[in-house]
Amino acid sequence: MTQQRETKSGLSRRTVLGAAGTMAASAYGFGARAQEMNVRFVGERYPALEFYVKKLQSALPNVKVTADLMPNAPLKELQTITLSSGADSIDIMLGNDLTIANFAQNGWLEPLDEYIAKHKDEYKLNDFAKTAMSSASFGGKVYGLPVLTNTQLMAYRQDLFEAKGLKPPTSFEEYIAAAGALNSPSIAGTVMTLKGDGVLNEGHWYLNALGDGWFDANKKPVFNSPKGIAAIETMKSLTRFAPRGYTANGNDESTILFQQGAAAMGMQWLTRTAAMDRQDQSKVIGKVNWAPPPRGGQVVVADTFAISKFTSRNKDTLFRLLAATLSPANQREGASLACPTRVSVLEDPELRQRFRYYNVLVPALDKGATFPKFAEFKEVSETVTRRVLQAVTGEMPVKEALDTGAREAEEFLTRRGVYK
Amino acid sequence: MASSSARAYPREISLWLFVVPSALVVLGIQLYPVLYAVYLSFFDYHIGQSQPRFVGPDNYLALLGQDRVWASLRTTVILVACSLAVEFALGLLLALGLYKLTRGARLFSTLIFVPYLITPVVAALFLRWIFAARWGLADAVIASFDIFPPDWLGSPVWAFVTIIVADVWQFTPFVMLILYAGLQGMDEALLEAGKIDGASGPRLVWHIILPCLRPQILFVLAIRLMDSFRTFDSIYVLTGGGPGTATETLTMYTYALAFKQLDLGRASTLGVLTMLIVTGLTLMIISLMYRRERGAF
Repeated sequence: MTQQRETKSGLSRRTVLGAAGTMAASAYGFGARAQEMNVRFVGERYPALEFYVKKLQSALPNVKVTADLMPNAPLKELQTITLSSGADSIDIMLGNDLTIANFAQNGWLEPLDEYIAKHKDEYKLNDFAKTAMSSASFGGKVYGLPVLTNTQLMAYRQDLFEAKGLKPPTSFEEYIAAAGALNSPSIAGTVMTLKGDGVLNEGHWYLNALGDGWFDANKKPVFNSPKGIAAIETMKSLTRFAPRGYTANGNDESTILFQQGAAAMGMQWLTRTAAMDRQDQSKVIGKVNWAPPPRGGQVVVADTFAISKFTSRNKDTLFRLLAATLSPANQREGASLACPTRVSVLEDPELRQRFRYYNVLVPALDKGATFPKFAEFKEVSETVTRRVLQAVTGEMPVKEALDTGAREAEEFLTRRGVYK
Repeated sequence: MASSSARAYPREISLWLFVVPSALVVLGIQLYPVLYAVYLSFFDYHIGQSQPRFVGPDNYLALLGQDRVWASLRTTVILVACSLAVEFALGLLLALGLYKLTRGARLFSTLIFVPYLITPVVAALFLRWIFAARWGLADAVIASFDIFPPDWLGSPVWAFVTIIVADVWQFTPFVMLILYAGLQGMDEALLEAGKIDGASGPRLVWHIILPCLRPQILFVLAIRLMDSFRTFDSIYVLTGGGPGTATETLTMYTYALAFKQLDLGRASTLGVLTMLIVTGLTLMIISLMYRRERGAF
């Protein structure tokens, strides 16, 4: 038996000292952790955002960021459900033109003007492009910091075009001719991405390039004008060169089609361009090139970091976290994945030389078009795009589908009190 | 008598004390959302609106006047009818096969039951990979026979078939298990008597087995009817309601109203209408099953 001096309670001195040491260590650890702020971020999953999430997670000391990344549709649902209930389970989030307008109107986002005024010199906030900042604004207030400008470019297989003696199309007639010439059982002439919001994005291009857009300045439908009907007829005519199952294809599926060498041409988000040359995923490295979409009018959006109105975290710290993440150095580093939003980075001559798509980016952005700037557009678009989809898939004649959609849109916006 | 009832009284109280808390929880979880949905269905209310506005039966009248509601109801009924018919037929065949097995029945039933244990979203993602155009497993298998594969998710008919396949693959094991349990509880003497009277396989099933399984059949049809009507995850993942609107069901439209149009008033209305339809159909099945007809079943 070992000789151990015991306390009155029967515990050995070693045990007591050990316990005290453990408690002290725990207390120290707890004290260290107490300084740490845990932040939850929700956003869409794509390569550029994955890059910025890594930067977000290391932007400020003692701020631990947990990121939940998911496809666009479930992200919007999660944000809507969480924010509408006033829950504080989201601290910072990714938004875009549509969601920023919608969420800001509902009072779900923190206005950032005072934070911008306070920190503009420290984080060079005047460097952000005006167009990008306007995408992050609603009703005269700023609700986010723009992470990247996103638009769609016309991706095309340069090797296939050259083999057929074709040039990148600059008109819809040329686009249809090229899609037809390149279409085969193994390669789709053009991708079409019509699942979920895909029909809104793709329809946007046709309706702006060939039609009169979605709505006029008074929020009255114009997508069913004679030019709008012709635009959707053109869209429908291209479905014969689209891959099988195109109505069930989202951005991920269309990206994979290009990567697997199963698509010759099609609209592609800027944020997907880097995936074409990924060593571990792509069979067409160096073969895909980009051109401005024929006649322009394609969607231009800015993805934006915003702060929830309902977060219980320190909002000044959250703002500094976002501003530090979007530093010029980080934007320069992430320039291969997305179009930066800082003027100093956009004008960097070295970057313009390094990235292939930078040459077509500026003309594409010049001719692109944002979504209609009213808060109810996102909601009314569900009704409208359903009719566009019925027209494109031949479920209904194009004119009948668009006229029905216009009636439904007016009824919807009347109920919402949009028309005074 | 009086004294005995007096003795029973405290015992009754104590029984109620055990039951009431859990009953209240269940009622709160089950009943409150239903009543709130019924309440909201009489209001014009969308997310972001400060105050709901009472509109009486307007939501019901508006929805019943929409072709989208009728189209999604038609789609739902066709999907439910096809899924239920195939699941019942397959489930019964598998249950009878298992019942006849003398060895390995437990292993076989466990293997068959696996799909039912998978979360529907995961099952749908798995099936989406199988039916993906160009790189899907189904395409690869069919192409190996030099046959051009169908457009699984891009043609209205095949998209329907794909969703039915997903439902059948996942829920047939449940039907099989319930019917198999019923078969095991059946009086074998009835089967023996039938055989002595010269009844062959199909007649034995029709005149003896199916009437004996009436409670299990009723249960399984009612449960699967309610479940199939509420199917959402597999359709959402596989087709998103497309191509076009070919596979948009009532639940898909309810989802669009609630989470895309943010119209909680009308989403609640459609939810209530769906509940009434399912309740009506379930009651119809029960009355059909218990109607004593001449002959057997």
